[in-house]
Amino acid sequence: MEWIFIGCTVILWGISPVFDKMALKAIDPVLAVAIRMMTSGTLMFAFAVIFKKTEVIKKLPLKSVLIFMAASSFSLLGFVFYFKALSAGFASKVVPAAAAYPLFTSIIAFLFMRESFSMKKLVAIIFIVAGVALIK
Amino acid sequence: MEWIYIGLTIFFWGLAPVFDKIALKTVDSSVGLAVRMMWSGVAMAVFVLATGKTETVINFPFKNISFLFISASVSLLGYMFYFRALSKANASKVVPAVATFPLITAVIAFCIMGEPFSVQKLSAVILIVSGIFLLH
Repeated sequence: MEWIFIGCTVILWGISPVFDKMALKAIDPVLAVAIRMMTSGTLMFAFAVIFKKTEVIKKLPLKSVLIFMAASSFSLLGFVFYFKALSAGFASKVVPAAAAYPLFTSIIAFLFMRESFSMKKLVAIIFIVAGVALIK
Repeated sequence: MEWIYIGLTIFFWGLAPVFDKIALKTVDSSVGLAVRMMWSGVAMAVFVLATGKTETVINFPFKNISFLFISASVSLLGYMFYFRALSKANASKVVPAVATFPLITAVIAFCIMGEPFSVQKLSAVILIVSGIFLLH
């Protein structure tokens, strides 16, 4: 079942940069990220109100909220350093190198979350990271 | 200097899904996504205000802003599926699998926007597809 969700994610995230590319012809990339995030935040606020999830959100354990906020902040910090790297070096070097982050996620998941590890999985991740680095 | 920034990008982008996965063990994926995105939206609104870029954002061409709205909405839908997948499967499987989305972008760019297709991109496609096959 998770492969259907993964497939839908890949297709939607694959379509999204096409519109980014069209928008970036006249907009600074950092501000584009800001507009994208503010739009997403507003849409999810509307979603929470329409589907009556606000009460559920209010009752969430503080620990869970803080973990999501940390994850969100890490993503944003990642964007900050990504743009700093892009301004300091060539995109042809920075973009493929930054694509290695799933390898780091997998290593942390193996080490700290005790997720299963196999040589097949490691080879798969290396293939994907190398492929994504090449395509970018 | 750019390698420090690249390293920090990989670190933060790699760490974020691990925190998402931890929080998703006890929180519904759509509620979690709402919390995460609202926090990102607020953080980026503060960034825009603090850096005095509000006027710049307001004066962006409507057409470009519209493309960013579409991109954010499509990406958000992708996030909904991503969080569903992350709540059901291991982060070390989901994160590398969804990281293949540039392949879809490259195919769209090639088919619709007429961007060139090279041997390097073909090698990338073969590597990504092999990786996904192994991960499945």
